Amino acid sequence: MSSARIPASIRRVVAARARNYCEYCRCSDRFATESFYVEHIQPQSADGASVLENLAWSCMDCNGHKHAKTQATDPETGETVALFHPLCLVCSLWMISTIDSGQTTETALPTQIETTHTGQSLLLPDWSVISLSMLPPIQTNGQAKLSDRSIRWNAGQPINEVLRLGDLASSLHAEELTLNLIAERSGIAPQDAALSQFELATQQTIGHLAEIVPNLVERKISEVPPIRELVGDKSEQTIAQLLVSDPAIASRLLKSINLDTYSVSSIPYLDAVPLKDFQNWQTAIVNQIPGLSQVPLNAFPQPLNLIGSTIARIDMIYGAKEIKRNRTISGSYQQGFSVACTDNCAYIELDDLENTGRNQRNRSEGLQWISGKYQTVDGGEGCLAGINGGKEPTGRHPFGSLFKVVVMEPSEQSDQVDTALYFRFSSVCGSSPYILGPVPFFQYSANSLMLIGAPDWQATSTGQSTPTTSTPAEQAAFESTDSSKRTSLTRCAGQTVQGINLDRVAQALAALESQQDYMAVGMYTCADDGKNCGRALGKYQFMPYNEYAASVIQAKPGGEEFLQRVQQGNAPSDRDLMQFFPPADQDQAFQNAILDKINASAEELDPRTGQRFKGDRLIERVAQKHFGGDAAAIDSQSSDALGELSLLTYGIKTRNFYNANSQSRC
Amino acid sequence: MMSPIHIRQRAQQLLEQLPTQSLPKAIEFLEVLVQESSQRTEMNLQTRETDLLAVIQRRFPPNEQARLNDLRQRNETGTLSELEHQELLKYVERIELQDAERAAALIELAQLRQVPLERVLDEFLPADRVA
Repeated sequence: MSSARIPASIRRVVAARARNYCEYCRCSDRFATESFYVEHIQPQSADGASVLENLAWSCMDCNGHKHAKTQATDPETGETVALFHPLCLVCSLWMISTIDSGQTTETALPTQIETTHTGQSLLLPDWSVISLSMLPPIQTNGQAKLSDRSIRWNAGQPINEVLRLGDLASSLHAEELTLNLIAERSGIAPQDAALSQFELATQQTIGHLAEIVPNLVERKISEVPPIRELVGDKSEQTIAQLLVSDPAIASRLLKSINLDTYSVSSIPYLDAVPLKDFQNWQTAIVNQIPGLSQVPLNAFPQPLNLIGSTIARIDMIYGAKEIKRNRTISGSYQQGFSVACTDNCAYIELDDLENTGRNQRNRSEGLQWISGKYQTVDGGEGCLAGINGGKEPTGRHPFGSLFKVVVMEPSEQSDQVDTALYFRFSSVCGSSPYILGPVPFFQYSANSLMLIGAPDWQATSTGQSTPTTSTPAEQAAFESTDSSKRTSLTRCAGQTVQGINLDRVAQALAALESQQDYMAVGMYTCADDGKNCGRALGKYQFMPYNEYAASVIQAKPGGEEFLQRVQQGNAPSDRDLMQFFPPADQDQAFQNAILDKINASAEELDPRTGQRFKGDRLIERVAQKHFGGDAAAIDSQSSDALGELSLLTYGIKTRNFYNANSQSRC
Repeated sequence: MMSPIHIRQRAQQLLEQLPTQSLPKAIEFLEVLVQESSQRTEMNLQTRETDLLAVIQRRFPPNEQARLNDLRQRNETGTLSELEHQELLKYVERIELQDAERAAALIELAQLRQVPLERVLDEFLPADRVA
């Protein structure tokens, strides 16, 4: 069953996730004359929600025949059976995919199949679907003493009940999200949640909310029901007037009233505030930010994705009796990924895909991934490095720094091995070792293919390791932090250049642009007498020949070819854009461009003052250049093609947005 | 009847038997034949491309498309009667057949033009398709 109420942004995400194939019959929508449906797998009539994990891209044929059914009669057996579930999230058994004879890979998670250059199939997690809420629960109890708190977790607890927003900052840049963006990317509407469920907001003072929520100070108290209840009968005053007449109100916490009856949307534009603007955002538990747990992991500002593309075949599986293994590809960021093992060396031995035999040494031949259940290595950094004695299970990071992939129990009897994920805690001064886990991940049999990521191991093994007989989480004694290891790692809400905060000027310019879609692709156009052609890309509509965009795209494998295709007129898919020019890179390229404009403009003379541009005038000039190019005439009345904004008014509007956007915290 | 190979061999034999002074006349005659043949091939290709384009661009008549759009829209809001659902399925069957023929035509057109299939798909992506 489909629905007309699915917004276009969600349709694009569902279509991109499905790579434009029907998720039931696998036919391509590019051959279809009629548009595909966004199908509710569990029909709305059976309480199926309009969330990404219940939506599938479906051709007319499959959608029409499935209709509102979830069961049908098997024509061979006559039994009533459940219909195929394309995302396999409600299957009674966890997904079991036999992708080639003798190569079985099992996981609870949505997957995608990639075909290798040898024609073999590799099962990979589909991060365009998987969110934190989909990950299986943590398997064992554990605890850690951080600098500011103690954390305990229990077997069976979901990971999003333990992780905090600060723990997702360096790996996903989750703090850059607003509830609006969360809604767009998760397919749910966090604005409808009770205000009390947005615990981070409830912990803010009225004064701080007035600073960070756009236009809140200009609103009448009567327009903001929770504040009206908080302050009583002063409905006709604006909040700005209230804060002047009763300064004490500024320090009152929003949660000093019962917020169960108010929705998030009862505070207008609360959903437009970046999470990092809330005080103490680092400490907010992930599942206490409505919708955040449902955002697919590659839809974060820094998307989770493959780091490297080395694939190997599991040749042999060895138990813990093995000793002295030194051709390893496992370890940690701190010790590198070639940490030798002395004893209790349970491991999997890898081979190249073609299985050319042991006489031929290929890149993957004979490499050893040691079990992190039996071997720990140095981990952690900065002020949290001392936690758990500074140790974490040995493993690898084929998907980046959010978690570590650990080989757990290689079984010689069953010829199978399971893997798990371990997460870490982070603060402004450092990160703990990866100790929060294990979270079950993939299970492989011998001969399965597995992704081992970037070729970051050394030809010969180095480093020391510590054998152990229990998982880190099972170890009782966690050490306190060691402040002597504090590093200079700091986080800051935007760089300030020439007195201008980059984040704020970026936000001000973005507010004036009609295009807010990171996946936007423009028409094919040429400039400079046909020398430069291409399609504008992303939220800031960078042309492919723009030096700031090109530099970040070229840095990626295949990026140069991607740029050439766009310059030749090919329209990139959402998936391509996500791969080669993800939102975080778009923001970075934009900031770099603005940074250079600020520095260059600060050297120009302002004809109004006869002095160099500075302060508000510098902001206006930077905006004019953004609008009309670096050669734009100062304060010109020239307007855009629509004739709505001149260079002059564009500059003034940007400056107003900038100044309205509260103070910088850098 | 002679096979094509024998015909070609016979033509080559005749050409070899000609005295040198007759060759310019033979060349002139053969060039006329080659030109005619080339024009016929070109015309055949153009005709075939026109046929393929007709298949690729074939759509329902406006009244039927309007009815289909209405059924689709109401299917999305769950307001179709059983009878209307059956009507929608009949449309679906026709579209399936039509799309299959269209896919074959797209593939043949790409071969005919000697371009990648992707390029032909991009060129004929239905304009009203909602991504």
